[in-house]
Amino acid sequence: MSANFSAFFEFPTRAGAGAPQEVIVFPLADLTNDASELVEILREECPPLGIWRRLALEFCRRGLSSAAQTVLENACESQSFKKYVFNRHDPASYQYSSTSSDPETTHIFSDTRNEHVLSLVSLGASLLASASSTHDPAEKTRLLQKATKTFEQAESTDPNHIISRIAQGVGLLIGENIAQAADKFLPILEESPSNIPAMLGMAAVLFWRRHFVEALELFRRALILLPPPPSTEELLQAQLARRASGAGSNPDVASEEDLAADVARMSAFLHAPLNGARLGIGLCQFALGRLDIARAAFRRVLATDPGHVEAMACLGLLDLHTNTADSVQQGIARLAELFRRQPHHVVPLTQLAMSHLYRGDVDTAERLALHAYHGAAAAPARASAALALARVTHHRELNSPAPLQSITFKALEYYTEAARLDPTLAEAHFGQAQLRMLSAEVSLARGETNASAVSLSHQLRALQSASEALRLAPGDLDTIRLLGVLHARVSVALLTVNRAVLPSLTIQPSSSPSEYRLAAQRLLGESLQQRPQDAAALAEWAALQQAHGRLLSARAGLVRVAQIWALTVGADGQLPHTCALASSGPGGVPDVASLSESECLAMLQCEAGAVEPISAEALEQALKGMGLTAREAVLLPAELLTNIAVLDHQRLCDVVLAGSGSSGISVPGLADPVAVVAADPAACRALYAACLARFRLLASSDGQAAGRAQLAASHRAPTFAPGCALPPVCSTFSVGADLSPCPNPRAAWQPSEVSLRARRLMRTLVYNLARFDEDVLGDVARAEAALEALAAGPLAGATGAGATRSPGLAPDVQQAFAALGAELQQDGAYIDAHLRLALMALRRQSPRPHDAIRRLRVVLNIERSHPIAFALLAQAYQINLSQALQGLANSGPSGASTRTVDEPLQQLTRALEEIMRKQPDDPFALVMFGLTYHKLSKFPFKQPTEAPGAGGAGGSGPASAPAPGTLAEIQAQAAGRGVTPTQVVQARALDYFNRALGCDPQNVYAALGIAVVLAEKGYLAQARDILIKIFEVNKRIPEVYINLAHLYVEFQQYEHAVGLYGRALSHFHGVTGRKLLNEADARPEFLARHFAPAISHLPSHSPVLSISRQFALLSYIARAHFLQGKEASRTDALENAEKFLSLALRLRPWDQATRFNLALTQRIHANCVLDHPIEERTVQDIERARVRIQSACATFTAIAAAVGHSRNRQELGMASEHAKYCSGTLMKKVESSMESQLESERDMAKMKRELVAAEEHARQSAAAAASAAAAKAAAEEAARQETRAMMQTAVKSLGLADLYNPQSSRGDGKDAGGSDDEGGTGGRGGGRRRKRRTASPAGRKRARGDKSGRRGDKSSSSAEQDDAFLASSSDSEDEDFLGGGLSSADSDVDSEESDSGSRSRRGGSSRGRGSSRRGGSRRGRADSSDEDIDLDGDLDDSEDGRDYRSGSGRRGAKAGGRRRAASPDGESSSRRTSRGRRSGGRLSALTDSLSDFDEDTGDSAFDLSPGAGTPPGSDGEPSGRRRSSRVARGAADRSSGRSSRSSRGSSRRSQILDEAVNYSIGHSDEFDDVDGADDRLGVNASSIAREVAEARSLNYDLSDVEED
Amino acid sequence: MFTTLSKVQNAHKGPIWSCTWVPAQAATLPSFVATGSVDETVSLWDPESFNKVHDAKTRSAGGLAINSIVASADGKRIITSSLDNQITVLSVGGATATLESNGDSLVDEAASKQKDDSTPAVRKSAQGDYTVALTATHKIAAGPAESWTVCLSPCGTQIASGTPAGNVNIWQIPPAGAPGSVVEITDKRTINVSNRLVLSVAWSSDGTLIAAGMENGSIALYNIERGQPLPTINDAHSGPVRTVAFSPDSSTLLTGSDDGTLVLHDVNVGSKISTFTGHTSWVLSAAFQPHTDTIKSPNQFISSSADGSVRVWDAQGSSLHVSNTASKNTDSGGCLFSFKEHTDQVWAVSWDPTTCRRAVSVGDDGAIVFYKIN
Repeated sequence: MSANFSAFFEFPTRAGAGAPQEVIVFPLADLTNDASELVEILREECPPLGIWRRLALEFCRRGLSSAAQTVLENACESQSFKKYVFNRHDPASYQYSSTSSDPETTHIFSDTRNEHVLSLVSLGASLLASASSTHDPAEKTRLLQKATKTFEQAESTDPNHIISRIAQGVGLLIGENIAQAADKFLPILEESPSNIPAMLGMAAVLFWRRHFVEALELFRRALILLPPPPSTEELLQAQLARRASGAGSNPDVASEEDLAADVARMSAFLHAPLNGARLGIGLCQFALGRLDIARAAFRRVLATDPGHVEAMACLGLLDLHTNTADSVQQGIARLAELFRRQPHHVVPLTQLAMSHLYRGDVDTAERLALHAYHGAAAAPARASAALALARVTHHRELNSPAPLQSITFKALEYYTEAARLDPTLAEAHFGQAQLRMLSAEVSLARGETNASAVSLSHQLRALQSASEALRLAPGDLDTIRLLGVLHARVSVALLTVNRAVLPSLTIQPSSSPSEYRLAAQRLLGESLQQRPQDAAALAEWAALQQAHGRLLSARAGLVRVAQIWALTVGADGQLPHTCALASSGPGGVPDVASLSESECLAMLQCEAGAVEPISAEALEQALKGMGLTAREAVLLPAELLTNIAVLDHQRLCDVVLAGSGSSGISVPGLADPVAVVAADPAACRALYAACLARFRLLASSDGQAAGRAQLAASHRAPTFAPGCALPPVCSTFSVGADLSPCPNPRAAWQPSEVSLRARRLMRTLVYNLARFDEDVLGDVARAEAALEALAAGPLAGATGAGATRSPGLAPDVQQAFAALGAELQQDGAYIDAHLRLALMALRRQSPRPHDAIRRLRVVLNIERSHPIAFALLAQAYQINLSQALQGLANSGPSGASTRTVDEPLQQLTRALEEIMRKQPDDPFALVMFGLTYHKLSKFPFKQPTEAPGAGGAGGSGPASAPAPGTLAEIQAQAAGRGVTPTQVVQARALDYFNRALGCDPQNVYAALGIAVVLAEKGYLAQARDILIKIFEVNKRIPEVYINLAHLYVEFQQYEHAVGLYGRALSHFHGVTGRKLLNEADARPEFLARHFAPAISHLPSHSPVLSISRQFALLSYIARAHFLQGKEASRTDALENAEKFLSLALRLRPWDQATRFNLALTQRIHANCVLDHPIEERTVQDIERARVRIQSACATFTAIAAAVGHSRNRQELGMASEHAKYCSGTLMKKVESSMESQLESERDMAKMKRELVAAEEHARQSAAAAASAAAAKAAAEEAARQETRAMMQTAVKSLGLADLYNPQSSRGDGKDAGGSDDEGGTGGRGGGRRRKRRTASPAGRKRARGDKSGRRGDKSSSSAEQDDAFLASSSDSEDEDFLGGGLSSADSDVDSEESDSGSRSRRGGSSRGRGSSRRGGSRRGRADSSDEDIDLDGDLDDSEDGRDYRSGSGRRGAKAGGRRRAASPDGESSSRRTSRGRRSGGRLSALTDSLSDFDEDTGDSAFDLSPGAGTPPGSDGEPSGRRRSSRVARGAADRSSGRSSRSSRGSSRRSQILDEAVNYSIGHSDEFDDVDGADDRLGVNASSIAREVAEARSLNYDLSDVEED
Repeated sequence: MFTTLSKVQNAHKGPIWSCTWVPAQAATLPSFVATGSVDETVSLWDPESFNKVHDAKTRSAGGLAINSIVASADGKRIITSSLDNQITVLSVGGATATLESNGDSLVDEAASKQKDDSTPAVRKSAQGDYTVALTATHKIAAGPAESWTVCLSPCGTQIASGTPAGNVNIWQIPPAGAPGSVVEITDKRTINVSNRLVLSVAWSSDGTLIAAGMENGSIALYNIERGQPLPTINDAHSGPVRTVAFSPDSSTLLTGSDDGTLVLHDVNVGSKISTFTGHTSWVLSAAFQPHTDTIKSPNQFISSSADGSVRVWDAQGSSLHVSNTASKNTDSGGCLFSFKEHTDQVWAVSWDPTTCRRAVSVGDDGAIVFYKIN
């Protein structure tokens, strides 16, 4: 071995032919990096390969690896290699060593092939060495490939040679093919378990795989097995010896330093394998956290090899990791040293980069990190370099003056790269999470399309990254905090995001918002426990609580934040960021630091007073509620206080909504029942005002350092935990200390920016104050004035000064607002104010929402595609549309111009399309579309057969295709498909609802729309099922209750219906209803909706709306009671109906429909009483019946008298008939009944007297008997029994009082009937009676047909009626339900007759059961009810009667009637044809409707497949029938002029009756449907739109509010 | 000071729509509160003990609600009107009450009960024991919707009520007929004030003016002495005017509307003086604090609303008062206090004309609430 250390390199010359072998001696000291000279000699001499290798080795030892490589390359190309020269010369001296970075190998071979292989391997190894040290990836790959080729060559030379395989393994390790390397090493280790190179290689593999314990074991074994290299002394001795031997040749080199260096080099070289093992051990121990052992190991390495780079790097890292000031310094020093030696080594580069970053030298840091990143070869090193670079970039981006929106997220790429290179790098994941969170914020701030969804997906990704980081570094507090924050944000985002976009997200939330909330609470709680002063985390926590409606907790959190800040203020009166305001107060801002408490208070008061006067008391109260002083309030960030004020505002809203009033204590549904501190309106207002004052201060102190510092202070600058090297730890951006992402948190605040932002905040505050007035104080006028002041700007000229529009305000307030407006307008219009005002205008239910539309146009001028503006615009147009439809209906068939409808329809379509352009499949837009088409389905389309004519008249001719979205287009489509336009629009409505439901399966309104359309098409059972399903899911929507109740009415389940109506009434209306609303489950949604500015307003808050719906509900309840009472002859139900109608009338005394209904109910009630058997009624009852009839008669007469004022002659005509009937027939009936009743009562009294007499007699006789002999006892008993029998008989006969005078009562009735029935003939009456009987189940159907006919027909729809009766009220809802009220009344009138038939049958049979003796009376009853029917018939058909008689049959009569009504002859025949076709094609109609049904509902979320519940026939038929009847009616209506309404109405009625007769009866339920449901949708339309709009608005607005 | 004296829950079997404070009849009867309900009864309440002292069920109406009730200044008459268009004049008797159960008349249940039990209905009150009886003396069969609200002339001899056609009917109450008989009043004088449904009428305390609030938000004034209409105030409200009330000095008129506002008008000029906002729903009823010896120039009024609140206002203006009770509020514009005792629409309010320090309200929740207002 000593030979290795000879001072000379000698080799024999080529043995020439016979020439003596010479030896060339070359002094090793002369070796330079340039090996070319030597190589030349060697090539010439062609020594054995061993010589070449030895020379290479020598070069290696001296660190001249490139020279070594040159030598080896030449060796492998030399003659000696090619000739397979065999030379055993000094075989033992052959030794191969790779550079220090590779596992050492030492092998001795003794064979030619061996030589060959060894040479190749040596070459490969040297290539590997270069590869591992190169910084150029391409070069590295090239070298690695070359090395691999070499190794392969070696292996092919001698497949059994172990060294080539090991070398290959090493190559793979360097190439980071860990798995393949393991494949190489494992078999070798199995063959020879003590093969040290394989052991080291395998250990490296294990280390790579993070099996540190196993790797450590292997390293240890290798360390033990490795032969100990000579000690330094030995080396020194050898070197000295060598020096001595070669001193003569080259004495100059023998300096001491060189000697030491040589020895060190030698030592390092010899120790390389050992050091490799030690390094491995150190790294394993480091990874296992045993830092001391690791440090010892690295030190040991350095002891033997002071220049060992890895050891130095590791030791430096260790020092840094120890995290004390000294060690960090030492570590940095060490790394600097390493950097000096190895300027390309990654570890020092990265670490120094970080160190510079911490010191704030970002540029240097970036240079270093970039250098490291581009220089790093191995994946882990590259990863850490990427991480460093990422951090530097992260820092740079966050601190750049460019606006946040322009951030490039280069850092995110680096983080991602780092995490990809080393998935175990927790810091990289952490950084990813941070940046993704930031990008979520940025995408919101940028307002991109689908911003909320994009942001949510960013957050979810961030959440993933953070979870990964926490998994890798469990217990890391920063990660826990970040994860908590992310959970909180995701939870909030999930609450507010548009649900429809969820499925489109690339990453799906894994649980519900509340679960996220729980996780967030846990994590944030954990973090806050450790760092109770972490204001940012607290603020985040508060925001979470707020979003979930836990306002108290949120407030507590924010107050705590404030207190934390205040604490820092209080310490020395100065806080780094707020002290600026305090100290530098030239100009406008006084020196706050020197101000006293009261001065601060006064300053706030003074500043606020200009806009909002606040009392000192209230302000102090407000501050006391937070444990703050006025001084602190001046110093604290105003945004924080604002947010607290907002929370109080919300809580006050709750209190207002809860209606708990003076007590104000128990607000049900609040998550924290703990002493719901009654928020104090005065204090809250004062707080707002104080915040306003603060911002005013800032806005006025233009250019003040104070302002700048203060505003900047509201955003924490990025802070790094000092001295925190290895863990990521830097919370690089504020988590939102004040809940308000400031537009540019990074910029140094420019003076103009300060005042701009302050002014903006002022505007939001003024807005909030306006909302406060509106929400909490209910002072709408003041709120509007404030909003006007805000909104003014460009609109000032258009609307006039805001103050003039709010006449209710005191002049001084108006002035204040005017001044305020002037102050705030310089920044342009405030869109939210416009939106809010537009909404208020919409709410005001003005007949034409011009005001709203104008405002919205302004908004859209400012911001081209503001979705909320479009949504509101759509609502406004929808109001226009319904009015146009109504106007069209009112104007009658002749004056109808579809253009009035087309215009708003197209505007509406455009607005909605605008929304959908930005967000396709927007559920709001889809639902609005559905509602629009549903509205159109009530439009009286012209009959298809007439369509061409109509189209020609209305449009520019049949040739030009009608514009899409117009009525003409719908009609054209209908004509094309051979269906009615109504069906087309219904199908479209269904389609849109279904699409909406497809996008958002939770969308209740879409489901509701489907249910209503289905109900209208006649699928009652399905509609009911859907409604029940909705009801199960969501109990907060009154429409569901109401529609379900309507359906129950149709199913004649009146109790259910009344119960549901009542619940709707109590749940949603009146003051009590608001409380219940607050208990609703989805509270956060509700709250958020409530709080989104501009849009949200609680429906029940709007008084008129709520009460008009209350009115509707009362009418519905009355109707249900009425129907029930009428059908079952129940006076109690009728009485209830009267009561509820009274309640409704009280709300709207001017409502003629209700009056009519009330009169009708009274009439029926009286009728009912009169029809009671004598024994069940009293004289008083009859008396009251008389009063009822009189009252009803008066009402009817009055309504009839109002004919002149009203267009609605049909009802009025009916009223006059009713009046006639009341005053005539009924009064007569009353008289007769009264007579009979009096008679019977007289009889009864007589009987009573007799009874008493009999008893008296019995008693007397008993007394007599008592005095008589006991023998007579039996006889007396008999007498008594006889008496009893008499009594019983008497009682019975009392019950049969009417028998005593049958003639009189019946006779009177008959007379009455006869006299009234003069127009008709007896025979006809009989015939009709029969017919009516058969038709009676369908009687209601006919009624509804009539009803819907009126509804559908332009000539006599409910709308018209409303117009007539309700000039002052013009909101669509009113119309709808009023129409409903009237229609129901109407149907009552019509159906009454048929019902009275059934009723009389019922009555008869019950009486039949009662007693056989009443046979006569029963007959009498039946007679009388028959007369009823006749009377009714007259009532209905009084004008038509003649036709019936003249015609041969019903149909003929009808045709005649129509003809009489001045229709062309062809008309009736055409209609008849259509009828024939209809009845013939009944089956096809059925299938049509079924297929309609299929395609319509096939993809709905509900199981609605036809036939599931009911047989298809019952489903399809009604719709088919309805359709046809509608067609027919349309024809009838057009044909009959307006001249004789009642005749037309009755002809229609009888026609429908005919249909009912023609078709099988028994579908009355389905057929008799849903007008109620019709009615509802009117309500739905606007409210749904509103709800949806409100739901939508969250996405956009919540942040805004928070900022406020 | 604003306090709630008492709240009588479920005072009637249904919603209560009207109430009035019946002044004491000197030396014979104390003052009462009369309430009219959907359950067709008129009840009298003792404002001291808050007990019911009388129940009278109207049967003549065929069972419809009583929607308006006023009392004469001498406390001897109560006028009721019901939904079935009947206006009834009841005399408040202090002695024993005997009422015939005539079909057309009012059936006094208490009285008939008295007959059965033969125990006098003696009531304890702060003023002493008394019996009270209501006797129908006159009736008016008004046309449909012609009895929505009734009011009495200050002298108590004329009844005014609005009609749907925009007229105000004025009936002169003739002397009562024989005991037990009910005189039907048919003579009426009709003045035309508008062409819209008249929802509310009021007679100024000096007897010269009649005010009518219309369904369309306009207000008509009519000088009854001179028989001439004054200019209609058209833009007073944007919703139906449910209540009109004159100030005690007859110089101003207070109107309340479905638009949620109360407006004070100067009757001489016909101009608006001020608007009072704060109610969050329809204003259903309003009443000026009456004039007494102690309060020379009353400037408070109360109002009730469908929002369930009863508010006390300062007619003079908009000073800010913050009381220290639980429900302090900072409503501007003269709202002094807001009572929130009712849970549903509050249909009527009435002042105690004697002390002028108490008021009563009734509502759809069936509750009667007594207030003390200083």
